Amino acid sequence: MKTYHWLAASVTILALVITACGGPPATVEVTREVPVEITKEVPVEVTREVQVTVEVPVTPQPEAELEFILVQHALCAWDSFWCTVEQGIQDAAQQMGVKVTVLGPDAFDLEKTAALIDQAVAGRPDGIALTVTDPVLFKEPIMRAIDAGIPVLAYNAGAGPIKDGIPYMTYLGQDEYQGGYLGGLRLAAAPGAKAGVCLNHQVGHAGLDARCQGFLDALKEKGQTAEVLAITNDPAESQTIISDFHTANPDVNVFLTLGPNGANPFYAFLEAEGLAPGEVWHGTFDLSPEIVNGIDTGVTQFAVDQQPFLQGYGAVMLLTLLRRQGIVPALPVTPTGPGFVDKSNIGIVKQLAGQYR
Amino acid sequence: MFKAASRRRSATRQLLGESSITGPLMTLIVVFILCSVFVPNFLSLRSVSGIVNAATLTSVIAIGVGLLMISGEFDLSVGALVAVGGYLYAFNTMNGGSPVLAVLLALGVPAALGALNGLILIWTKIPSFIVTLGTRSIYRGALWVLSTGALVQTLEDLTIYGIFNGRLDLLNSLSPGANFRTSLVWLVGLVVVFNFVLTRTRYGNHVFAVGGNPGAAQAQGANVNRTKVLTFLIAGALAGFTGVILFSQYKSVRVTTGAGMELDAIAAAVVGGALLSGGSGSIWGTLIGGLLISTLRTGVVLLDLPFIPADNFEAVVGATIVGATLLNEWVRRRT
Repeated sequence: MKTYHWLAASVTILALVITACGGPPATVEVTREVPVEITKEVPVEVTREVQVTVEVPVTPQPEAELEFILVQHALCAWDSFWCTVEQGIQDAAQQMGVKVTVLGPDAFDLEKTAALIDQAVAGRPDGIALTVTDPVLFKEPIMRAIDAGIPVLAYNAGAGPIKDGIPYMTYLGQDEYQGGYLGGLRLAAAPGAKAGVCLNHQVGHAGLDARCQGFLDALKEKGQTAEVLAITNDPAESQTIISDFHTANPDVNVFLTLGPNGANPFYAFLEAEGLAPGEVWHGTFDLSPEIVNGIDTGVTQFAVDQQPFLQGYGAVMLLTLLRRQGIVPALPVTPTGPGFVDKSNIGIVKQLAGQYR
Repeated sequence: MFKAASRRRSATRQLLGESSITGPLMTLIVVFILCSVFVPNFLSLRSVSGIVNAATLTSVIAIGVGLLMISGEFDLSVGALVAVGGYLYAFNTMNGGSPVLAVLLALGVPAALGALNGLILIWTKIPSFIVTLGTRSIYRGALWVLSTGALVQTLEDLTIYGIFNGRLDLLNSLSPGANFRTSLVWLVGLVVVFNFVLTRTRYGNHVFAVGGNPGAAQAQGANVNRTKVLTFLIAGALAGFTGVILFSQYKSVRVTTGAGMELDAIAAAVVGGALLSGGSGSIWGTLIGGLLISTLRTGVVLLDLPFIPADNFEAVVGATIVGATLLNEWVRRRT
């Protein structure tokens, strides 16, 4: 009898425990929203030592012969995007009558780029402009330049002196988050737009992740849902991933691709599915012949253009104005983009593609 | 009666065990059935054609990589050779070029570079993993210099593109939404041909022998060096052909095209039953391995599980590659 009581007690306790832990809920609400944990702010300790004001040379020298060194994490020789940047640099140098030298590594190598910054400092130029591709890695060499009294500004890559925690003059380039956000607002306003997806071909790349985050936030603001879909470097795999995603989420009709690498399998997907403009809404970053054709035919609503020519031209121009006239950039971020290329200006862009756009 | 049953059982076991594709094939069938039952929208020609397409590029390279692995070697430069083949094909077909020349160059140059890998291996006796780790950077670097880093893209719709990777409407007419492509025909053709070469020719015999025991193979009259260089050449040619198929559909090639494909190809070969140590594997197994990985990927995306965000399902694919390999080992030991 005692054994029976213990058994009954144990079973009862066990049953209570199981009930307390809870079984699966009766209904599971599955929303399409996936909280992507990318913060907008770069988690950098901002102390009082970070000054945004720049030491201007006491006497501006309007007639000075100037020499600047620019350090980039990539070169026109192996990445055609940079040919437009370097065209801007050369045009500005010629028009302003200054001498420029462009330094860059042979392959994407941030350590080598950091070493080149030191090389630039050793050259004692009148100013240095550089890509702040990695604010942690580049901080020391940039501080050496600033401590040596050389004015420094960032172009193409960076987040501004406050967010990067490095007191250079200004960041001249595109705000990746803003590009995704403004692009997202445009797409969310398209007739019939229901839910969106950001096709990221390189999850983990801070710039691309920021673009997607902006897009997600914009759609959420407009009451739509959005998520990030990872695709790969293999166009066949990517096309199938997009196609399967579309099958599993047929209400998603807003697509954002982050560059020609993502747009390419997306166009193949559209062709294979026979989807027409108006059934899906597509926006992308950067330009390529395929993307230009997409804008022309109405398949793609816009391409976000960071205006690389302005990045190179502006870097040289700002340094020249500082040295000659003592003019200082007003804000920590001087945006060159996002600029939108769409049906209204595609004609001009087509003419200038590769050289100036 | 007891004796007859046990004889029957061991005969079946012998039949299954002799073929190294048993494990992978069983896994593929089981995964396919599970997906058909549990994954919505899986069992349709549209999904199946998607699975096949996603696996095609990797599988073509994997034929060559698998062949090399059976002979006991690795080639990590095949990804770069895809880009080389793609560029040569692109330049020579665009703007009214000769398609024949395009294909010859796209196959020939990567084949020569592959053979170069083999020759470096023989001259220096450095392991092929290291040799090709170096050549993959050299080949891609040379491509960068020659192409000036430009993205090559065309909007032309040429016949030759349709031949290598156009719509296979013969199959597509069977079901709306199906997207079979002619690259499937090329893939199956290559698998049949190379399976024949591997299992029915003296060269194929030598490939197994050289991978299993080079010393013994040499003693028995197989020219180890020639076999290896020829196998590297084939792997290079197949990588170049992958570039042809890739450009024929996507009409786009850049210097970074194919980056990472060498590892995907190795994964397909290993999941398909090839041993990293060499001497074992099959061409059909390599194809099965590629299809299995692709099936899993499609299954995970279609399943749309809330706790596997759509930007992280590759982790599932990775986990299953390990799982499938363990399963192959288990089946191999049991039979």
